[in-house]
Amino acid sequence: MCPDLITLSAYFDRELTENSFKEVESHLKGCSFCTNFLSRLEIHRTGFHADASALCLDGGELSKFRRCVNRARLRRIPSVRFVAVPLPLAAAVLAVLLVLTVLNFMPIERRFPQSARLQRNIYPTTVVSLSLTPNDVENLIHLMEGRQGFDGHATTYVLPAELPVAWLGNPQVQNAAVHENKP
Amino acid sequence: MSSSAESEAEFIELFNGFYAKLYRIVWGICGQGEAAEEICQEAFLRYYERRDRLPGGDEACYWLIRVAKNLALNYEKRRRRENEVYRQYSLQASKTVRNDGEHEVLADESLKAVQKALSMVPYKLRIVLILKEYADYPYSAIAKILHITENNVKIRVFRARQHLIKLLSGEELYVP
Ligand SMILES: [Zn+2]
Repeated sequence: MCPDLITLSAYFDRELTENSFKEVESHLKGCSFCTNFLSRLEIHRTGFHADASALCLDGGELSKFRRCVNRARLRRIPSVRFVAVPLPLAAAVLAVLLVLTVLNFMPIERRFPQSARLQRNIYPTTVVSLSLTPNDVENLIHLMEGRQGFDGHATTYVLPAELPVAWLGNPQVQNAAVHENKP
Repeated sequence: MSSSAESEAEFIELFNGFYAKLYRIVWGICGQGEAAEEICQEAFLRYYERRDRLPGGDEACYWLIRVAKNLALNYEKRRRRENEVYRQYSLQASKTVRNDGEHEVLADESLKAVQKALSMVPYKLRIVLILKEYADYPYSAIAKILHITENNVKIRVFRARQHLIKLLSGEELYVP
């Protein structure tokens, strides 16, 4: 009598005990039905193995896996989300920013009334050299006191041509130097 | 060697030693090389991230198979849903051209036909046969992977083969 097909299938997978295995083996010698069944299974197995051997791995699986791990790590970094800010806080921050902006454009004297403003338009100092002898000074004073060429208001004096006065610098600078040296 | 370097080295050993087998199993389930690769990578990634809490050795392989087979099954379900409309259309078309076209293809027990027929075997039976034929696991290991008894494995393997024979030759086998 033939063993059942489940046993034959297990025989094919070599999953029977030694005794059962031997029993089936001796039965197979004289039974074409059972050998036919087993050869069917063999054909299927050949098909599976042919399928499996057709699969080729390119050997880059591990490096591909490393990229997968890196991508997974990147995914786990939380993305930047909008932070919920209470309306009063947002309004306060906005007001502070506005005040700072207005202050920035206000003249410095209005912002800090105690501060001094440095004048930038100061004339450069100029040296005026007069090489006058005490006699010349006497003559000059005498000349001015005698109102010679003096119109009473103007600050223009007509000095004698022979007066040894040497001016250094251009006229504008000279003017400024005179201003500066005023007491 | 530090413990993290040790676990890294163990992981690489597992990856290199088991990837090809896992790939064959997943390919057996979903029949698509590209998808099988994605699924294997995903399964290994899941193992990698939890490797400190997961077992090593054979149990690690079983764990990977369980994860990969679930991923493959989900993939297959999705693909079947997507292809449903197309399949309906192509079945109708082949019926009009050749009355018995579908059967003719399957009656051929050629190597190509085996894979096609396997994809038509119910999943519960198919997965057992895949673990047997593509990964060459003994019944005891298949029982551990699928959390079923060895006897159950023996029966499911046979039922899967029964389906194959019917699909490939149109022949009904007597089942005791
Ligand atoms: Zn027999």
